[in-house]
Amino acid sequence: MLIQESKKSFGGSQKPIVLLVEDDKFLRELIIQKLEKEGFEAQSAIEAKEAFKLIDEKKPNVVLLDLVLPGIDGFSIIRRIKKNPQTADIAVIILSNLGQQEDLERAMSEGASEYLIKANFTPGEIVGKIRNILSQKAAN
Amino acid sequence: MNKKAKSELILIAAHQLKTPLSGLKWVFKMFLEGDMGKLTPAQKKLLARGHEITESMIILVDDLLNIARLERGRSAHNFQKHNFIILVKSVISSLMPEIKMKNLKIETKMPLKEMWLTCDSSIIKMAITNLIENAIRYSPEKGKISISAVKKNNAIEFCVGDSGIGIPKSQQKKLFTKFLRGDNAVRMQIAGSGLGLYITKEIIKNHKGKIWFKSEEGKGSRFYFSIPAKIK
Repeated sequence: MLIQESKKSFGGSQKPIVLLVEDDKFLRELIIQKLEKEGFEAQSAIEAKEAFKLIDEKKPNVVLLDLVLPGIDGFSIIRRIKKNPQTADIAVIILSNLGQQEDLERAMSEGASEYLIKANFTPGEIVGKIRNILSQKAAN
Repeated sequence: MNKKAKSELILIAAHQLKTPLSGLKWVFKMFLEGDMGKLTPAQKKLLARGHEITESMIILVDDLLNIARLERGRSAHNFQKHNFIILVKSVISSLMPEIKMKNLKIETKMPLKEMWLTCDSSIIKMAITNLIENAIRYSPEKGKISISAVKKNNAIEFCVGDSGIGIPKSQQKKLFTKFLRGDNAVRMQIAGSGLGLYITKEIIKNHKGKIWFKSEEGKGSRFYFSIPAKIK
């Protein structure tokens, strides 16, 4: 139901933009392929600098963020997104294989909307979570 | 290599293994969900098997990660006061899909609403989950699982009983060792890594408790653990 509502909310010519920040090429390609097939505009970055450039240029609706990245880690990226009034409204979904309770609590306290463990979710389920968050945002 | 260094190595290796395994799982799922076009029944069957094996490997890697963390000892845990009854209820509710899938009957005996325990809730939930999951796994369709939590002499005693395949007498002594799987479970092709009970034992040990069981092959098993309510 939520998925249908989300499609409706973001239907028409403007596709919701999802920025994936992931340093593994294989995972990045799979998620991008799935997002595009599901009707999203998918952007991707390997590390923080590239991610912030795309956030400024593309103003994504959702950032799908890995935590272990070269250079600046995912926790610092969420903090910077949430600290900036221009970007604080962007929903951040963590997509990581760090599964410790303290990682989850830290990411949520920095302002993440969801915490997904890569190995426990399928691309279809990840897209479902993105749609849920977009429809919640549209409803607010 | 000392135990701590070995645990660190396992922790890093296991975490690194999860990235390619996640990728493999995603590929299988994308094929199975039709993202790559229509599949023939034979292709579907083969890919479903690939997905199943990948899932087993992810569980194995998770178990290795858990062991590495547990072998670091009590210092790695976050001990706080929790209501044990709430922890048990939350585990049962998270396992309801599996319970319903096998049409199992669950009987709970938890006379108190509150049973406070100083513990690391995330790993105590793992111990409770391991025991209930085993009971689900080894029970026949429409079988019965009993779960109880009672207070005995300043300790909490938890028990999970099943009407499953039981444990052969010859293997009962080694049951809590790494990678042990019951001969009857292997014969019946019941999935498992053989690490769950070892992990559970380590969790209970890190909470200064004890774990034991009663079992008869073909009739079922009852697993118990007891943890002092306050750990110093």
